Amino acid sequence: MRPAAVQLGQQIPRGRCGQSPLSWSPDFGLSLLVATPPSGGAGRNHIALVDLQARSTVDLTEARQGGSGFSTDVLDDLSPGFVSDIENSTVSFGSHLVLFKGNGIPMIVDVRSPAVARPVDITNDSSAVVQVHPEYRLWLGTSSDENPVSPDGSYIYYAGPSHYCGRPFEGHGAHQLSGWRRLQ
Amino acid sequence: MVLTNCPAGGDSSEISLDPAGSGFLGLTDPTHLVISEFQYLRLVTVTPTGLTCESLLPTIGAGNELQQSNSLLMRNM
Repeated sequence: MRPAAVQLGQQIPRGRCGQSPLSWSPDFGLSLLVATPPSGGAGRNHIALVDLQARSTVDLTEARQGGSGFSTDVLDDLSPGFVSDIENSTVSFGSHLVLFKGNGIPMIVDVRSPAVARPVDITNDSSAVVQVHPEYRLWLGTSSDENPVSPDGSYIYYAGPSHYCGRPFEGHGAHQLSGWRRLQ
Repeated sequence: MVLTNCPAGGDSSEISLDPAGSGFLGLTDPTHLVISEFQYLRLVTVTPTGLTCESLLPTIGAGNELQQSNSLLMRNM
């Protein structure tokens, strides 16, 4: 008799800045691993991109180390508050971009050129939009933008005096991970 | 649980999966998980007949090993 297929489980990530997704993204092609180094570096995080189809990895830590020997913190839901669809997650990323915090400054690494990191120009000006995942635009808002639930059911998450949120581009619902509301 | 079929390229032919230890990184989807072995990452696939193990290459840079965490993000890019 053929054994039943085994499932490791299905942990649906929950949103802090957006709705809980209804299902896994259909594309598991690229995943981001975040973990602490084997010794020292408390509070630090190393990251690597895993291409499941190619069975390959891209080490993204080096660009973030900045000569310190350990990677700098990644942006997370608490400091300073970053768009994410996974509760307590430590990093989020866009189509080719991984964002993290270097010396308190939002930084970005393009996974196509992972050896170089550059600062992200995010200001309180809502026009300072960072193009990341095709579904999302991320930017820094202010507490005066507070409007926790929008008519379409999306959320705005606040972590302190400022926050990062985004919204899906209209007409693009392929992944249904969340519905970020644009801050106006 | 011990995997014995990981291909060459790692430090050993056996990897112990200890959720409280340094080897387990997390699930990528309902049928895959990633584990670390020093600078090597392994992709374990659950099949109807058991587990398969593959090495993810290249290896992680020295000192950048992913350990002591189970943070795994599942966002496609």
